[in-house]
Amino acid sequence: MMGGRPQWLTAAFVIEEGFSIEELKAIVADMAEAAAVAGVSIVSGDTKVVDKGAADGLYITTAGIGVIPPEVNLDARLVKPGDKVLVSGRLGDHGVAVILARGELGITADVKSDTAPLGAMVAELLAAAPNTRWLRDPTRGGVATVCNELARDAEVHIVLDEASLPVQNAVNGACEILGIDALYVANEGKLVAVVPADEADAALATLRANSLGTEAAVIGEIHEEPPGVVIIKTIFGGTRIVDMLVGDPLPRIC
Amino acid sequence: MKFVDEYRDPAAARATVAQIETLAGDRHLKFMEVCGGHTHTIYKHGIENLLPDSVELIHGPGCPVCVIPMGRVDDGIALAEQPGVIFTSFGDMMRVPGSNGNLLEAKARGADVRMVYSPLDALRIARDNPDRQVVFFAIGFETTAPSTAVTLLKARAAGITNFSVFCNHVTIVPPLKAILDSPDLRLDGFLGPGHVSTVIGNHPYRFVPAEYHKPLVTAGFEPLDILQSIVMLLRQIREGRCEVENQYTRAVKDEGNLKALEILAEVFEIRPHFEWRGLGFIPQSALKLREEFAAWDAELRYAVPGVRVADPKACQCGEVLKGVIKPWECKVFGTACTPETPIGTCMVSSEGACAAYYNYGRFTSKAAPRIPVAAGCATTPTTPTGSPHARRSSSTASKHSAGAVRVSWKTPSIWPTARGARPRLRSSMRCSSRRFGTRRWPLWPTVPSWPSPGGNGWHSAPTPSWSSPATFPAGRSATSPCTARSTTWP
Repeated sequence: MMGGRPQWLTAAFVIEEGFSIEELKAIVADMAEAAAVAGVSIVSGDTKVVDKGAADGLYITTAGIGVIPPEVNLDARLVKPGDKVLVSGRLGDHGVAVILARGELGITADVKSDTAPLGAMVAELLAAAPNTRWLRDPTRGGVATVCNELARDAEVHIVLDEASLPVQNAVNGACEILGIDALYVANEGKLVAVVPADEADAALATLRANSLGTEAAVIGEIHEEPPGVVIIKTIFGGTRIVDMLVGDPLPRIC
Repeated sequence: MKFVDEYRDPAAARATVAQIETLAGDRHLKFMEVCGGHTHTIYKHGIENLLPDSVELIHGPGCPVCVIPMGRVDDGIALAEQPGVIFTSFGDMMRVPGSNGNLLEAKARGADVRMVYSPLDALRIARDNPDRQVVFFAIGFETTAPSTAVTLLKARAAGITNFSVFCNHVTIVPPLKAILDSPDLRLDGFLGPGHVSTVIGNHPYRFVPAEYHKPLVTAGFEPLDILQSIVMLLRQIREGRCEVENQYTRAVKDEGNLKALEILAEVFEIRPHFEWRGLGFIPQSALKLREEFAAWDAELRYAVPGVRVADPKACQCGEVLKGVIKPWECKVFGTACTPETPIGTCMVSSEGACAAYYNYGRFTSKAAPRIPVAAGCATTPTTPTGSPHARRSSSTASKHSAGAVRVSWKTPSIWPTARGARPRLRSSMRCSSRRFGTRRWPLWPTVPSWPSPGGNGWHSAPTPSWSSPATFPAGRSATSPCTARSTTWP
């Protein structure tokens, strides 16, 4: 997430022999619709059909190209102590939706993936907070991981505030049951932004004005020492480290 | 979130902490939280930072992953690498190191290792793959053992024969007893394991106050549960009482879960001895499948290596599990041993004291002097200097080097010395089957009588806590069943 306007997309399909043509057509139609919404053209592609058993149904990989306007300058090195950390909405919806959709846990909850194109939201944000320092999509590894990457790259200390994390109850509940932390759960339609303190209110208002960002929140602040470390102030009044995730989040047994 | 937020109320926490400060006064009291879940909560919510200096929490042995010895992990990996086997395991077992890597690495080498959330998932995989053999790596205390038992009963009822269990279930009371017998440790009370107690109830802990004169409060897992349990312990001490109390009343009944106890007794029997990681062999501290379930016993169906593997020299998990040292006092904590490259099991599971401490508290606590700030792992160990804790760390480390663990560990006097060696059971350890009516408990000791307040009785023998139903004389004073302090216990 570099503040560019997405323009073109490639799509490569690896299809297992025997995969339903109807399903493939439905997927392609969905992709076309999503591309139209995002203002992106799918300009290149490839298909490979592999033997039965050599793939699990269908794999699609995409690569996108966009154009960064000359006035946009986002870089972790611009992040300074005092800056605010914002997130554009509820955390963990996508990851929990995927876990539940696998149907292996016997847990059902009304959680939908947050997959969404954020190009328009980014443009609005950059207009409202022109000195935005840094943007990132908290996909695999969640907000905790991107904050750790930022803390490391920018050599800053990040303090998150547990009370202000927007997490819906169903996601919280699933995470509690599974023994995982929503901060580490993947999102597909959210962004994490670092903006200067004096632009934080404008940035927040802009995010919330967008239908994809109604639950945006300021979730933390940049500090100086100790660099490279992310901590969270717990609701309970204590603090704990939010570390880089090691491997996949593994559920606890009891 | 309902049923969670109520137990994380900051205002109530502040009030409870103030109460703790008042009750503790100027004494220094050490309480052990037995369960790994407690340790996790304590670090996750920063409870240790909230407590006054007068109350110190010591982390106990109740982390199910942490106590699995390397040899058993190797056995599990050997099973996973059998041709045609689908090996299923709980998630946090996947990264536990054996002598030759872990299950994730076995998977990368081509073994079919799958993570499951319940043994019933493993049984479903067996049903869906009738041409494959499915093995479930059963670990955990009495908390998870009933689900394994139910699965085996279902497998038998459904006639599913391509399913087996590699049983590593352990029981909580023997290590508790061993800790109380340890000369290394002075404790003032226990936060008893909440989820184990949902199964076994509170009665099995009565020996703690009766014989060892330490109070025990069965504690829930939310932050306020922990704080309230500390208040209850402090009240007991202040009022001169010493008993088993139940803070986790919303989940734990004094008599436990009778149905679960019943199926445990139907499916499992006690092993004569079992190795605990870092603690060595503890007699009668683990479960195996009864003969009736031999067809589903992976240890009988496959030739598992069964080789005992010594813990790495540098690893001090044993001392950490016994609460003798704090995680950050271990020689390799945060330097050679990190969650990414764990040497000891305590660094693997999020319930492990070391992992909890590393993940949540290493920069804001007493551990800080020992840990390089860069979150990386294989950095040069920081020489402990400066803080009194660091100095203590250094002296403790030399005092309790890995080789010394078993010397100082008093209870088990019957260490097997080599592969296949069996500890010699003293005559009093052999079971009198008459005690158990028609049920056979050939490996059990004589079960002592146990008082039963109000004559209701509790339907489990003292230890293992869920043994066959027994009648206990009512109205007697609280005499411990464990009057003979010997290795015959439980």
